[in-house]
Parts: sequence; structure tokens; C-alpha cells
Amino acid sequence: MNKRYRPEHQETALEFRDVTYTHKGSQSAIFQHVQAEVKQGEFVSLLGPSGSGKSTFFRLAAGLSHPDQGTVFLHGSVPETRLGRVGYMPQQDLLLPWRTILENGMLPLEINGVPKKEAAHNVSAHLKAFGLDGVENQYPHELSGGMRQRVSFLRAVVGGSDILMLDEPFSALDSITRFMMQEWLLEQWQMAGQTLIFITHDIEEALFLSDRILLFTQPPIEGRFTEITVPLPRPRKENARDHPELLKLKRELINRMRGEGGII
Amino acid sequence: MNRWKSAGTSYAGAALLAAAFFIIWEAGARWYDTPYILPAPSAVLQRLWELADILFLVHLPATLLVIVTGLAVSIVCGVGIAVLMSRSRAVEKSVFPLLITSQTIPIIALAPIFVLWFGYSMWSKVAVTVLITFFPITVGAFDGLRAASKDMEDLLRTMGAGSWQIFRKVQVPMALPSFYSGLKVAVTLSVIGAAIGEWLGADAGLGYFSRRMMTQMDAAGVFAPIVLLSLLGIGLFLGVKAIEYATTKRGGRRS
Repeated sequence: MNKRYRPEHQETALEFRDVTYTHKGSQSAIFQHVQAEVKQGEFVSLLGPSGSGKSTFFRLAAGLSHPDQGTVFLHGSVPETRLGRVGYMPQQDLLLPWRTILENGMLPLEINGVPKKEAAHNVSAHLKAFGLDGVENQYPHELSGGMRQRVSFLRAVVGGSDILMLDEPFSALDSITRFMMQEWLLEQWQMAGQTLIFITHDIEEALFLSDRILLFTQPPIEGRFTEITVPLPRPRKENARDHPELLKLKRELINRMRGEGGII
Repeated sequence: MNRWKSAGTSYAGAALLAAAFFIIWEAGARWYDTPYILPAPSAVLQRLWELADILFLVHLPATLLVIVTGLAVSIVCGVGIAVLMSRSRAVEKSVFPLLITSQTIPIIALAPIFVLWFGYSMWSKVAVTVLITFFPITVGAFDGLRAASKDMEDLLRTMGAGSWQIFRKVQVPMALPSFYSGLKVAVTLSVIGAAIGEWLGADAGLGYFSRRMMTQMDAAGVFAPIVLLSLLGIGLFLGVKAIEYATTKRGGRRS
């Protein structure tokens, strides 16, 4: 656990090296020679307004899109395909309505050829930690929004990738549920220790959760991201939200986003 | 509970309306008293009873065979075309306009041609049935296959799924409700298709029998097989509903 506080000494889980990317049919590039690294076990947030390229960053990292130039490394090497190597939790839960909670959780295992029985066993083992025991035979529409997001996260975790990408997972939840889910996510991550990359447009959320924040400003983004390191120690508890250091950083971030013409 | 109650009242309304309709018909027919033009419902039922043997043992099976064969051909071809169209934009662009054009052809005008080609055999009737039923099946399946969102597909790809897995695990289950809607339309149309085919040239079948009674000025005899055709349509419809109920899971059936 201790090593997580000093991510600079760890291996790189994800690296963008000199990545240039232009959306199909678009004139101007969204990334130009972008350079970014995420260390093993690090919690990194991508913060910025919508349309600033956060989702594009995800798609490139997950292998859904390919850079026009440059290279994306996973664990220091270039895999044949990044698909199936990076766990992804989408903004909407995207649970399959005709599958039970258990069957939804089993989906990534089924796709990777794990026998059903073993897959069910594997998912069942996680249910309790995810606060989902007792609902495994229910269908998604019978669950609350917060629970559905936990199923979605469970599905991403069960997939077995040690890099997880979460795309504004809590943006559709009410504020109380969102707070609880943030704390729950921190707990889960502090136990399991995956590399987490987290998209958000919520400054407080980013500050409370992350080791490091990459700022997405108006595209195109060139070279390195503007970066903020959150100096709070781990493990963080709920009261870290009111830490004076966070409030100061929040003010600074707001000013900086304003200065760069970004809208949050 | 409430659902059953409200379903009960809505069906009660339909039953009442139907009852009123038949009572007026019955009364009107008795008053008019020209059974070879307007037979009373009671006369139709009586005729149905008299003709039960030949209708149920000869003509109903003949029509049913046409319908089932026609629907089977339509499902296989329709779903096949729908899958091809959903996989390739080029196929969609080239096939879909033709499909729509095929529906503008007055099928009743084509039916005699089919008799010319296939003779009085079952296949001329099957051809009419296929022509009339494959369109709702194809469109239903195609719309359903397109219902899976891009986000859903992308999610499965990040899990390492190939296109066959995406097809099987997302697109097919997603397509079922829409496919069944198309199929429900198709089964009711299939009865019409078979009847038209038999009307124009056949030596067996409910449509053929109805027409033969026409030539004998037996109006009740014309209606008797029509009652059976209608019941057949309702039965097929309920059959599809039962299959739908069995193959789509509870969670997928929310509104």
C-alpha cells in the first residue's frame, strides 16, 4: 500500500507517447504530440469540460480508436491490440436488461471463454464487497442508479484488467448517492490497488479521489497536460473533502480553468 | 392485480361490442330474410357444424400447411436479409429500396402469375404468403438488430469481444422484441396471403372452399371457412405471443 504514495517510483501502466489524433471528418487535431503517463496503481482523473477530448483519450487507451501518429504503451510495451486489456466502465451503466445482475457481471468472463459455472462463481465472490449480495438474480431495472453503477463497476473489475477506466460514472446520481459512491470507490480501490483512470467534470470529485489530475482544456491539446498533484495522504476518509489544502487547490483550479477559457 | 383488472375491463368492452355487432347482424339477417345474400351468424355456425368434417380434416390442414411453409420461408429469408443489411451498409442501401418497392406491387394482381408458374400446387399459395409476410419480418428483425447502441458494442469490444460475440450476446437479444412485433403482423397477414392464393387457384384449402360455396350461392358456406381463417389468425398470433413470452426474459420485457 505504501508505495502508492510515491507513484513516481513505479512502473508505467499506460503511456501516450507523441500521440496525435484527429476525429474522422474533422479539420483540426484534438491531440497534438501528446505525452502522458499513468503509473501502476495510480488514481488519475481527467478533468475538463465536455468536448475537451477526455473520452477520446479513453477510446485511444482502450483500443477503440487508434492514434494517427505516436504510440500507446500498456505496461511498457505495445500489445497487438489494447481491446480486452483495459477495463472500461461507461457513463451510462449499459447493463443488459435481459440479464440478471449475476449474468451481467459474468459477461466479460463469458466473452473470454471462461466456463459459465466458473464465471458465476467468480462474480459471486465479489457480490458482497460490492454491496450486491441478495440482488444477483434481479434484473437491472429493479435496482437503484447507485446499485446499477456498482454492477457496472463490478463487471469492469471482474474482467481482470489491472487498468480500469471510469467515464463519469457518478454524474447521473443524486449528490448524496454520489458522495457515498465516491467513498465506496476509494475503499474498493485502496483494497484492490488497480490503476484507475477517472473522467469527471466535477472539480471536487477529482480532488477528493485522485493522486493526480490531468487538465483537459480547449482542444487541441499539445505536448503535456497541465497537471495537478493532490498532496493529501492515503488512505483518505470522508473528512478529506474539507481539507484546507483541497479548498485552496479547488480555488486555484477554478481560476486556471477560467483563465484558459474553459467552461465547467 | 390492477393489471388483470384493467385487462379484464378492456376485454369486456371488446366482448360487449362484438356481442352487440352479432346481435344486430342476427336481427338484421332474420328481418331481411334472404340467406343466400346475408346469412345470420347462427346460420353460419350451423353450416360450420355441418361442414366440420371436410373443413377440419381437409381444408384447414391444407391452408395451415401453406401458412406454415410460407412463414418458415419468410422467417429464414427475412431474418437472413435483415442480418446481411445490418452488417453491411452497402447491402442495406442496395436491398432496402427493393424491399419497399416489392411492397408496392399489388400482390393480388401477381397471384394469377404464380398460379401460372407453380400451377395448382401448394407452391403458388406459398409464394403469395411469402410475398405478403416477409416484409414485416425483415423490417422487424432489421430494426431490432440496429437497436443495439454503439456504446454497447464499444463496451463489448473493450472486453475483447469479436463481432460474432457482439452479435450473439447483444444484437440478437436486443432484436427479439422488434422481431416478434414484425412476426405478429406477419402471422395475421399470412392467413390473408394463403386465402388469396387459394381463392385464385387451388383444389383445397379454406380460401378455395369459401370460393366454391360462392359459386353455389351458399352464403353461410362462404362465411364458415372465413370464421375458421379468422380463428386460425388469432391462434397463430397467440402462438407467437407464447413463444415470445418463453424466449424473452422477464427483465427484457419492461415497457
